[in-house]
Amino acid sequence: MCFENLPIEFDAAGRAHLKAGVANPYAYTTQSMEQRTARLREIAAKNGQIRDVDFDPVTRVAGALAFHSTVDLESRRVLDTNSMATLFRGYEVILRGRDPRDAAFISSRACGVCGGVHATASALALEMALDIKPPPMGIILRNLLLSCEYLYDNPLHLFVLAGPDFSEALVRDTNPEVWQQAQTAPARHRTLHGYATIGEIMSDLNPLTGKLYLEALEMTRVARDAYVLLGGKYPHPETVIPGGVTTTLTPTTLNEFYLKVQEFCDYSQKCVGIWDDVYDFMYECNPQFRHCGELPATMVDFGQWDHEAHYDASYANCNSWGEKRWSTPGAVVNGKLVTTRLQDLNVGLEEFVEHSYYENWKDFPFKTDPAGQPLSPNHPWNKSTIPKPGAQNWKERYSWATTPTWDRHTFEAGAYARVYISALAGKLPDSPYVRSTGKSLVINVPKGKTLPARVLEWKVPAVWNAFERNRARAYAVAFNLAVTLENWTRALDLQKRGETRVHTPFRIPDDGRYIGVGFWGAGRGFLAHWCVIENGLLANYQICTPSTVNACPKTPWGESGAYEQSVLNTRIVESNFKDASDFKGIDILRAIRSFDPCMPCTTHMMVQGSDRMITREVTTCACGV
Amino acid sequence: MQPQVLLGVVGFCPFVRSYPLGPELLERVQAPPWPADRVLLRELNWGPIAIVQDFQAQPRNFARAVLIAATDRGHPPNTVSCRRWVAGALDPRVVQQRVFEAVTGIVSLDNLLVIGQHFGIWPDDVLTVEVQLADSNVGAFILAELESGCLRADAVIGEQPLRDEFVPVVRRLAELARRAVMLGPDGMADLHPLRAGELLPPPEFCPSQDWRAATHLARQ
Repeated sequence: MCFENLPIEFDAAGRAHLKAGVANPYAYTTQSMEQRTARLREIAAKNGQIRDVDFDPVTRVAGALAFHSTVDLESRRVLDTNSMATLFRGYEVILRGRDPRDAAFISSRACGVCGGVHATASALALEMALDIKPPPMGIILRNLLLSCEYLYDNPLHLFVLAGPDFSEALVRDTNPEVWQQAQTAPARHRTLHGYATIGEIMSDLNPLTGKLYLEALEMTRVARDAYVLLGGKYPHPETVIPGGVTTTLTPTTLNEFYLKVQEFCDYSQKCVGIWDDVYDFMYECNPQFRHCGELPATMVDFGQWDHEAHYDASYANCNSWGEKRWSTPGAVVNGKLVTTRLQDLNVGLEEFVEHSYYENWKDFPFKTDPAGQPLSPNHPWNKSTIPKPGAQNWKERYSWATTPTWDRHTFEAGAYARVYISALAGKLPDSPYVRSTGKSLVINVPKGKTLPARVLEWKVPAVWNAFERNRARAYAVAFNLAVTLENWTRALDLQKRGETRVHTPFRIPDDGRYIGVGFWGAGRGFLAHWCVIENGLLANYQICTPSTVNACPKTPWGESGAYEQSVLNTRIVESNFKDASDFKGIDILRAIRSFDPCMPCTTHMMVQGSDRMITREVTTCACGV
Repeated sequence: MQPQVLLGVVGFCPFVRSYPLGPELLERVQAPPWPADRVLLRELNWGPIAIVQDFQAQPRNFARAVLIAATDRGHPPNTVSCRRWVAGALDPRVVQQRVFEAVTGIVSLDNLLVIGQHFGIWPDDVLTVEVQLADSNVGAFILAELESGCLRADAVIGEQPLRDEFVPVVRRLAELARRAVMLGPDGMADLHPLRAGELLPPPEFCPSQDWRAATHLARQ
């Protein structure tokens, strides 16, 4: 019984159905924002230390995410937050009415970093809708491509995007007392990374010049090179299609691929050593850091990396093949794993637009999923994307992101979710490289060029906060490597057996209605595409990205999304400011950045009539104007 | 023999051709063909970090780079101009802001110039051939098409003729690019310097801090 809020229960066979006697099972109340505003006015009248802090943009990407906070500098608390996606992404609108085969190519443009994951999610959705099962080698090659994206993405975040927040340059400016201690604090994992003190690590985290920063840039290149060997190009590969991939595979390709991936044997150990040391030191310096971005651990992930012996693309069997993935699907609510079944995840999902620049839709075409289980009117298969641009209004609509919920909970998504859920579930297939204990993830990292083989273990932390998100992301690099090596070995075995077919041909039926969902993941976690195909064309297409999940505005009933709530829980530990004029808000930024925000996933274009323009993107491209 | 001049088109994207300037431009700058031993024509429509890494992987000693792009310099629409990149002092904080953008997939001439400068990939002579385009709205095109009920793949992706108003713009871009490649800065009339301070500023994303001092310390 995984649902607490939706009136859904299960029969003896595990099939979900609505509880009897509930008149309007998907009803919800819409809370007025007036009370919140009145409360803030009252506090402001009593206290002169309140400051509004705007971070726009937070993501460094074309101004797509803006974050508004109200901070009380005296009590060092955040009083109010609003997360805004400021640009419109119109892929759902663009795809409507198109040939389904366009979906992978067009939707992969949803992100300039992780286009391959969108292409794959799209391919999976079509495979489910049209009953296309890829051959084993096609499934494994998709897994390897996904690994490369993660091996590119996670180090990039750790050292180039979030790393500077923990660099000497920043720490000595915002918290000189921390820098003072760092210079003499011993680094416990010196054998993994070579640094004697935390101060040395922080110096090499400095942007542009720090060795760790530059090394991470180089490692992104290694991962990208590996991707290109199998995927042809990156980003926006055109080799990922429904039914598999179009890669021409040779033994040389796999060997060259291994040479690239092998470089992560040392590097993944180093990632773990560096971030274990930095975060343990920060906690010791000031326990208040534990509140940075703190949230109850509530997260959803679909799992990814399909097992070639189990994946059959069907919705009917997705609970089974989902649990055989190399990263286990699941929902964690307040630290407790409540399900690992993909159908439960799908049935519990809803998307609300009460605080977004979209109109509510009226159609409710799918009362049930293909297995006959109930679906909400707000489920993505029932959703229509109807843009409704307007002025920003905190009480009403203020974001281009929607509000996804699972069982009426807002939740968070991230690389850490696949680590967390896989660790708790204890369902990973047998592998010499990785295993789940039910409370930890044990990763066997092979010997690299300089470091010996080592066993790393990520344990579910006692608190869930910004630092633990980043720490789990560091372990995710090793997890990715383990899955990559497992799948590479399987690819070699298939090749030896002559099973080198990488694609299953298919055709789009001219008539009839078919639905599918691609449960997948991005470097930043949770990703799914839902499609409805009618008479050979896409009648509806919905994409839900991790940044939408994390950056969402409040639910209609007033519950904050992950960014907003995590910042509300953050304590201001920043010490080097006199008053509002030189307050920098680093703790808030650390909290938001721990989610690895990537707003191109959420936003990309704009609509005429809005007061915002994508001037930069438009004018720097010589044709896309 | 290694090519002496790099001719790069920054931001060429063949996908949405509502304004098919990119493909048209590429055709025009290639005709007549360049001598392969003298000019390397590259689409530089990648994130600047990827371009830097490509340069680092295959070091080439170009005498000159000519980069064609659409930019926002506050000129009237359809203004075509040529500038000489002189960079000037780069603020490490601004470079880092541009790196943040670059690694997330933004294709940008300004970011490419600054990041390329920081990582030392540019030859002594870097010329830009720029066009200032009118603000436009991708969403309007898509939505208008949706509203009219004619959402067909070939309507968006298919070949479309170059709009009349762009014909002289493309011709001028191609002429200037050819001149810049063949003659270099000495052959360009009214060639103004382009300094880092004149570029469209990157978005502010970090709290104010003295990164310049910190990075100086790090170098020591």
